[in-house]
Amino acid sequence: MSLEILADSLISGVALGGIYALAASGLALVYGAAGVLNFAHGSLIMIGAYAAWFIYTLTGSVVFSLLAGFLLPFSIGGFLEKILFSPFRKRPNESINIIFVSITAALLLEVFSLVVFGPRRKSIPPLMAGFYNLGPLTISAQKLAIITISIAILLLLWFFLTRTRFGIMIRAVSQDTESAQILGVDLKKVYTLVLAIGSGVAGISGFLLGSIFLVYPKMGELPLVISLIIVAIGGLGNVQGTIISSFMLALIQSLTATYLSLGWSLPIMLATVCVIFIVRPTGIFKGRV
Amino acid sequence: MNTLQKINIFAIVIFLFVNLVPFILSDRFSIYVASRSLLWAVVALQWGILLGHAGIFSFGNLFFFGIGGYVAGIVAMQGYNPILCLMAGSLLAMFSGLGIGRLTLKLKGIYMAIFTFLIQEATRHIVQLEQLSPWTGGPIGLQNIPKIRIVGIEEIYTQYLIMLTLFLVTVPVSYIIVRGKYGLLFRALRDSEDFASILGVNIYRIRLLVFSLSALFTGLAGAMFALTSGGFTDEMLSISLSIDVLFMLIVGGMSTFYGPLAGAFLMTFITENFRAYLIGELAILRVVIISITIPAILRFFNRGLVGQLEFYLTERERAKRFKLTTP
Repeated sequence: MSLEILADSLISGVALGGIYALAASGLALVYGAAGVLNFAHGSLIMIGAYAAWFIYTLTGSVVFSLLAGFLLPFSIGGFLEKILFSPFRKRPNESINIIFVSITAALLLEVFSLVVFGPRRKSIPPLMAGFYNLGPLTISAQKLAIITISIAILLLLWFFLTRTRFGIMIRAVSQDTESAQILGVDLKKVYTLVLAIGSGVAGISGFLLGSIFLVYPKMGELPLVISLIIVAIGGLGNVQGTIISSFMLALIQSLTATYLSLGWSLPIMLATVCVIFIVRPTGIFKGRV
Repeated sequence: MNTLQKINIFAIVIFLFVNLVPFILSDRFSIYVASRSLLWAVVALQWGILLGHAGIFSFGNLFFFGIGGYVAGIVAMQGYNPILCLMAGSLLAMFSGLGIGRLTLKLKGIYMAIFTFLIQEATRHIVQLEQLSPWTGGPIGLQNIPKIRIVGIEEIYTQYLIMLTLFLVTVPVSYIIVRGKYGLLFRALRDSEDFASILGVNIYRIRLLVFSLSALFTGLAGAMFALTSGGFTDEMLSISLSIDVLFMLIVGGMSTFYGPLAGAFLMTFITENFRAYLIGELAILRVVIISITIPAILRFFNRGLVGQLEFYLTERERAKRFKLTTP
């Protein structure tokens, strides 16, 4: 019996880890290439969840709602870079000003969703109903769908970053901005693209989160905090490290939730960060995208 | 008379104006606004010293405010002497500042931003935990903290006097630090960390000093707030309150000494006077206004009010000197 509980909590941890990996790798990508610590990331997750909820209740198709959850944050992310972040580049106090501005963007997006969709919480119906029996274990189809979707999206992201022209440009900028610029990479285009991609991936994680929990204007706050923790542990801007540490952290969270209580998971995660900062100040994984 | 002296005199005139007018009007509301202005001025100044002078990207300075308030409130509810409560709150804030500084000040500045933000959010969740509710009150927060009473003085005046004491203790100390040798050192660090460290400035020690001092004073402000208002909730650790204080900094100009103070006086005056209109739909409008104004100020008016004044005065002085030397 207790072994089944353990297995169930491990599977929940993996499902949650997939979602966190999507959210945090978007944040890490944006920081690594564009140098923006995007505090609006949580709100973009929320926007993605709302877009997906809207399409899912309209059509009932997972593919279309995935597309909506990707495209709306994608365009908002690119727009944010164009309108809000780019005026502050190459000026004094660049990084600190961009952080301030991204916080205000987060507030604006929250207010926007509050006005458009109202304060009532929405729920996305489960992606798949039913259970699968794997020997002694029963796995809910919902969790399996989440794990499949998140791993598929992560693979797509990996494919984009390593096999396509734009992906290689993004990696080049995040490794060495000046050399990339000399070799003819258009920085403005890369910054806009990377913000759009990072936000779009975050939006998908918002859709998956919304299918487990609920969709409401402040739903992005906790994922933002958790993604920041993950990114700090994984080494800022390092996507592989981010993905590994998000699964690690999600397992910690689901095990604490099972054996202690849900409220303790954030303090325990923070304690993990403290320990890692003491032992290895630059995160577990060094290096870049 | 040079620019610095002019600004100082100007600041003292503003301070007297803010503090004397409520007594001339002598209605309770303006005294309440004055005491709140003093409180937020202290909090904003301590944060402004970190962000604008020392170049420490602290994004969760209200964490110290919350620690100070919660600890002082909890100790006061056990029935201890108010002085002891204030000391407990502010010292614990300082020690947590030392701890956070120890962890993050040796790293790149961005880690500081992440870590302070995280710790404030995590504390907001921790104080809401069910298991801690016998002490922290859970989601409701601390209620009925015994207030500080001075015999023979009305409550609102007591509150004002305590805030005035807080202001008069912390602001001159901060002034001496910012204008003195340490201020010079940490401004050098902010402008060019590598160059300053080559010249023999111990980066880590100085940043730790200014960070823990800021934590001490912010914690003291939180403790005094808890002991005068009689309640303390997790609202004091929320991001929206952080944004309000940041807005004060940005309006006033955070790389000047008087900027945070001016911003706090101005914004507290405005928000407290319009609070009645800020319920429901209009609260949203306030958020929209703040979040549109912050980027606009940062982009087009990034010195802030006091910064602009200082800039104007120094430029005029320079122009005068220039005229004297060249025909």
